[in-house]
Amino acid sequence: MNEKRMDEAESLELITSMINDSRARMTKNLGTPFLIWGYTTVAVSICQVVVVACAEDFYPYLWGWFAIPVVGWLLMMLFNKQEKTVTNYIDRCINALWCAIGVAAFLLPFTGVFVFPTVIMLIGVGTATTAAVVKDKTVKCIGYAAIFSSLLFSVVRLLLSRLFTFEQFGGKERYLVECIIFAVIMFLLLVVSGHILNYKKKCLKN
Amino acid sequence: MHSELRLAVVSLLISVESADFVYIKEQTKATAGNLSVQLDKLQKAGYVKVEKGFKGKMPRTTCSITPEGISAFEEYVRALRSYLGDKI
Repeated sequence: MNEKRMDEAESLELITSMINDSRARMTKNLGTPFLIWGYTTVAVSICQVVVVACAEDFYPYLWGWFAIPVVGWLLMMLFNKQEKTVTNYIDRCINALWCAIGVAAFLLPFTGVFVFPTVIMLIGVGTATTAAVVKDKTVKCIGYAAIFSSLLFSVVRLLLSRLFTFEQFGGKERYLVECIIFAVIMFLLLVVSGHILNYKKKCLKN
Repeated sequence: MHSELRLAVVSLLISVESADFVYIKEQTKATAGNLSVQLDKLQKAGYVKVEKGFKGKMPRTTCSITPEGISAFEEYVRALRSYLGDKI
């Protein structure tokens, strides 16, 4: 590129190509945070299932869920430490959205709400919004599906309470079923979405 | 804004919040010397803000478009549109 003067059509073509190039760059590394948080959540959920299944009382192990923000944050620092050469408005909006969702998810256990469906709903909202911003229909559908799937917990609780007495299928067993459902939904929501976003980025690059 | 490289730089900066020198150089495929000269011209015109700093021990130049730059770009695109509109 040099100092040459261009005609009007060339100028418009150049403007379009520059804006398209920077837009293409917006989705760079977007899938990686999804994969980091997705695999961390699934791994911690599986650990919970294994530990709680072997334990007498599951309440002391509930603190294990706080391994998600600790491990997730460390992995984010490890994998996302490459220098940012460009900052755009979309990246900033997406970061702000996920920061707010992260803080809300961290505080949820202290609010007394039913944590599993609320976390899924929050992350579903984040995923659907992120996908809408980067114009990815598949991931947007996954986000909406996750929002609706949070109702699954109420259905499971209702079914279990109708089919079994609390003594037959009580706190620990119900908690294990919920952990497994949570792990499966988080896998589909974050891990699958992350791989889709990275795959599309790879295709865009080629 | 009438040179190819200056227009490319402004078009690039209009769609981002800020970008560093290396990124602009890669995207525009310009030489470092030529890009420096054009950025200096844009800075003197008040269209681009150039901030020099350090990232660790490495020098880093970050560029962003100013409100004057945005107005000038919009004006330029408007003029292009009206010219091409007349031709069509």
